Amino acid sequence: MTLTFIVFLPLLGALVSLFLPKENHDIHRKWALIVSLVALAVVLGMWGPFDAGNPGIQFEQRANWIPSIGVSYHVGVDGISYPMLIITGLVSVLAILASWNIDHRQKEFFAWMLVLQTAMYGVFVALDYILFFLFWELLLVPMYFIIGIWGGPKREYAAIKFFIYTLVGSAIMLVGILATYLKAGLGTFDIVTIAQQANFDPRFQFWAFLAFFIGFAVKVPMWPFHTWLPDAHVEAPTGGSMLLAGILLKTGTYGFFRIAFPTFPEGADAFKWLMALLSVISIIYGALAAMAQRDLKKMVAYSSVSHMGFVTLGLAAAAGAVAQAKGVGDATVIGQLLANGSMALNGAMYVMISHGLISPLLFFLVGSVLYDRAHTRMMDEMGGYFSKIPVAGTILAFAAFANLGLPGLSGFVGEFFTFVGSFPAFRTLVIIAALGLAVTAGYHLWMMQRVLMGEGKKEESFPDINGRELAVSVPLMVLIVLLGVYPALALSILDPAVSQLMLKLGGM
Amino acid sequence: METTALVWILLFPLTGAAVLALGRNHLSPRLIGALGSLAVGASFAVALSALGAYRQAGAPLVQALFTWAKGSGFQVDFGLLGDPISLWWLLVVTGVGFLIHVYASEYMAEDPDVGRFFAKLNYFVFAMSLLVLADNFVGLLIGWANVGLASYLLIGFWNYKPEAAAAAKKAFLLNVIGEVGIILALVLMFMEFRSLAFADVFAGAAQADAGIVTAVGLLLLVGATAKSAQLPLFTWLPDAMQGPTPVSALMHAATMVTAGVYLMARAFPIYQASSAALAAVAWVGGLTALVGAVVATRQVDIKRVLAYSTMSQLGYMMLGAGVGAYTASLFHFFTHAFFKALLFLGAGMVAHYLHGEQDIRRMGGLGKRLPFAYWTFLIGVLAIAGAPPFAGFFSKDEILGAVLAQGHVALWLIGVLVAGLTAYYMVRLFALVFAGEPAEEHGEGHESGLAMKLPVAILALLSTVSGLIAIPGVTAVPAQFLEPAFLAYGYHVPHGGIGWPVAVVLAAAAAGALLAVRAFGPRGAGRQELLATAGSPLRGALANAFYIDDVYQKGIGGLVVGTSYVVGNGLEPHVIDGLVNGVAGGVRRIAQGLGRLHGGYVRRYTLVLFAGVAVFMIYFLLI
Repeated sequence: MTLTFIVFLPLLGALVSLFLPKENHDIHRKWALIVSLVALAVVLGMWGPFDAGNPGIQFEQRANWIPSIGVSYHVGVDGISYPMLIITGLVSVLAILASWNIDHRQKEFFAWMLVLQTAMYGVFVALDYILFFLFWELLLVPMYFIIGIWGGPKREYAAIKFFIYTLVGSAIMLVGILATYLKAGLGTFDIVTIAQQANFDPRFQFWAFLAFFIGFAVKVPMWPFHTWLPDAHVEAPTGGSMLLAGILLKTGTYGFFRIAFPTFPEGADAFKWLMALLSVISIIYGALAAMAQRDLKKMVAYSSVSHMGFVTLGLAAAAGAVAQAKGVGDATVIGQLLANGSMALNGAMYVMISHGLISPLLFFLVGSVLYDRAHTRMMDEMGGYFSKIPVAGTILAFAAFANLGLPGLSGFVGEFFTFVGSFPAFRTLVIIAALGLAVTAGYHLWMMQRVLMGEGKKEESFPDINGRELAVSVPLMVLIVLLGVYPALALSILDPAVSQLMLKLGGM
Repeated sequence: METTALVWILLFPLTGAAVLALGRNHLSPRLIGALGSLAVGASFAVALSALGAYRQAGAPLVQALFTWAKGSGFQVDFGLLGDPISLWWLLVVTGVGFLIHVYASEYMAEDPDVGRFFAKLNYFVFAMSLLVLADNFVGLLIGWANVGLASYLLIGFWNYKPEAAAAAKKAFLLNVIGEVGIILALVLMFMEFRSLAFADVFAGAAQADAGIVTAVGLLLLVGATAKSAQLPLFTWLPDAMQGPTPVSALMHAATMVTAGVYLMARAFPIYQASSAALAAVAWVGGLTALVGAVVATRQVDIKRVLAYSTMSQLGYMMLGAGVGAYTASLFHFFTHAFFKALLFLGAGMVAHYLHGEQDIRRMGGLGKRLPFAYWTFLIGVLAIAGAPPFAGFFSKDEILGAVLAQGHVALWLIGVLVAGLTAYYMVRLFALVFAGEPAEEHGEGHESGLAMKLPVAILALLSTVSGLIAIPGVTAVPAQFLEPAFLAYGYHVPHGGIGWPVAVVLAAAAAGALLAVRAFGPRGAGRQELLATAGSPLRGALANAFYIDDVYQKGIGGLVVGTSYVVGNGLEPHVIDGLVNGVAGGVRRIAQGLGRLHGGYVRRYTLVLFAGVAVFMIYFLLI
């Protein structure tokens, strides 16, 4: 029941808000904030009862829905989805705080933000293909309106591009879902049951994995399916960008963890090289594209493409480790190879969590804190912010160093584990990806040189960061430090689930 | 021996940094300087007591802190290690760091951002202490990276200055390149040893796969070259002078640049297991010592001369490490910390007096006006030039003696040449700054106060006497103290002998000094020549460090940025996204035909989509 409550509370809140007076702008944002906070509180309340040592599904709830074809309402969380729930709850609250001063159609805006929360929570808890797909599609609608109504000058183009792109991806995924259902022949749409019991031949797995791969790769986004992202991120209002970068991209990689890998291990094996290659291209290409931007928000958007490449690289490496283990007789060596795979998956999950904290912080700083003051996103029109707004400038520098993977902050941990876990399987690619770290550092440093240092425009003067803006930034900063200094905290939850996935991939 | 004390070495400066950062606008400059100095002084006191505890126990101090990461098949425990190598380093980091803090409390008192300055300075000491204290490679890397960040913040302290901003960026970027090397080394290490704890890696190094060990050694060396300003990643160091002078002193003497030498010494079992990697260290060190010294002879900025001299002296330390003579290398680190801090703080007093002037062509005759700076700087010059009985004489000769004893004649000759060059450029510097008549009138500056003079006096004293702890045949404190750390993994550190080689080194130094006096003494011809700006191409190349920096910035940097423009402004909008929009356009044209039947945008697309789904579906189920 807990999960059902979390998922539908925001939707209920949105419905209630329809009856609130339209003219009273303050009440809508406060209501949305309260609802989101309650949902977050319930998510955090699960921390105690959640059994970190248990790799299986917890807080499970199942009910028949359309029994004739085997569709059920089945929800639950494990060590892979629970961290995503926490990030979703936190970033949702902060995104609403960040959107405090939305200046028109407030009632609709906050209602859509709440609907979006239901969709995000739903994707991470759904364990039935149809339920998953419904929430997956439901993600699009609120985000489409949030970008299309409250976005920047090119909002309509960006919103439609986002919508079409992901819809094409999910249409192909839907084919995969239906084919999987029919081929499995178990009479159920249950994600867990199919992954455990279905016996797909390699040829089918190849095609089914490809269908899901396209659906998820668009969402991640992996190169070359990424071009919706810079437009959507740049045009979206700040709250939208925060959720888009922080949570929505992760639904793509989460899909690999929850569906594509456990259900089609042979498919993952067939695509591991392609996936690793596209990941490293994403890492390097995203970093280079980020470096070329004048628009600060666009730079951050491309950096997301780059960072999500680490997640998919780690996933590919898990399949790579399994392939290496095949035909090896020595049990110790097999154990080590599978441990590499687990490490890569842990790293991938860690990047998802960390990027889910860092990218919202960056988008908030760039899209709101700086933009509200300077009214520009162009880096060459900025400068000297260390002197003009020292606290805000320092927080931006903090976010930049976190994003470039400074050891001691959360960004490093995931990248490091991904490298360590992936290297045995993809040596050359990992070396190339590691060189990408220098490019990543390069564009962040160049950004800071242009935005924070120097003298900037003489006549400019702004107030430094305010209390609300600190309330958005500080929780993210604290977690970025905590997860950088003490990764065992998150790993204790991730590792059991991830290791079980690894065993499943290895056919054990 | 288990202890709970070591962590305080980290906590004092970390707390200091936090308190100063938050209180920077509320505390008086005096209090800020006092608190900042106190935090590092407290660390020094803890380090001293740890030294006492170590001597009493006769075994390394260890402090387990927490499990950093744990999962299937891997575990990284985080702890602190107080063995001879780390204690040796800590005493210098916190001790010299403390003196520099005290000096800075006067030097920076007038700066409006003095609070921010001391917060960053404390953070620098914290990061360096973490680097040195960690008992595993992840902790070392975290300290390493934070040292890099601290240097970025301090080089760019006057961040409104474009040159400072550029210098900070360059320093951090080159250090990231080094870090990529270290990260890859750790990746290989984990693959081979399944652990990142020093104890596990070092115990297994001798039996490990030779190729991997060599690769690890070379990759760690990449990191060390960036941090310790060795060839080829040294170009950030001369620009790092953009930071306030106490920062330069701290970076060059105690923190930051010595980290590479620390890494070479700490990871010695790796290098002892790979003669190729060890030889690479030696050659990188030897060549860097030479290049740094040669380039230093042509610099006209007082701090740039010192910067290249640091590069050169670090080359000596790497050379020592590269022939396995770790105790000699670490002894030179020890004495160098004193005389290099002394020289930088002396340069700071000069610049302070001259209102920020750093061009030595515009100086001269300062001996009469700044007698204190004159005498202390002279001690620094004698120490670095290797004049007996000053500190540098003993430590440099330990290294060169070991190089020769190990049979590296070519490297020994390079080392001798460097000794001569060092004496030359340091005497040149001293003569141009302090001797003769003032080249220009700067007006009356004020001489420094006690808070600046006292640390300088202490450093001058240490530069004079600290070499005496290792008089060949008489005392051998560094060797005796440090050797257990190397014996712990079964390595006997070699030493050099004394005799005619020392005389050769001394002769080279004397020759260099004499040449410099002739050229740059009060009646030397070089003084006038220096003022005439025209020079031969060779001189231009030397003054600009062989244009290596230009090759990096315009060549490699330009290539990367150019590629990024091709990707970001060409490939992305026109090819990748162009393709997408082209497909979309095609679909739109088809849809327009169907559009007569359907009104709304989205519905139109949805129809096309689901038609596509149906086709796909049929295909799917039939194969």
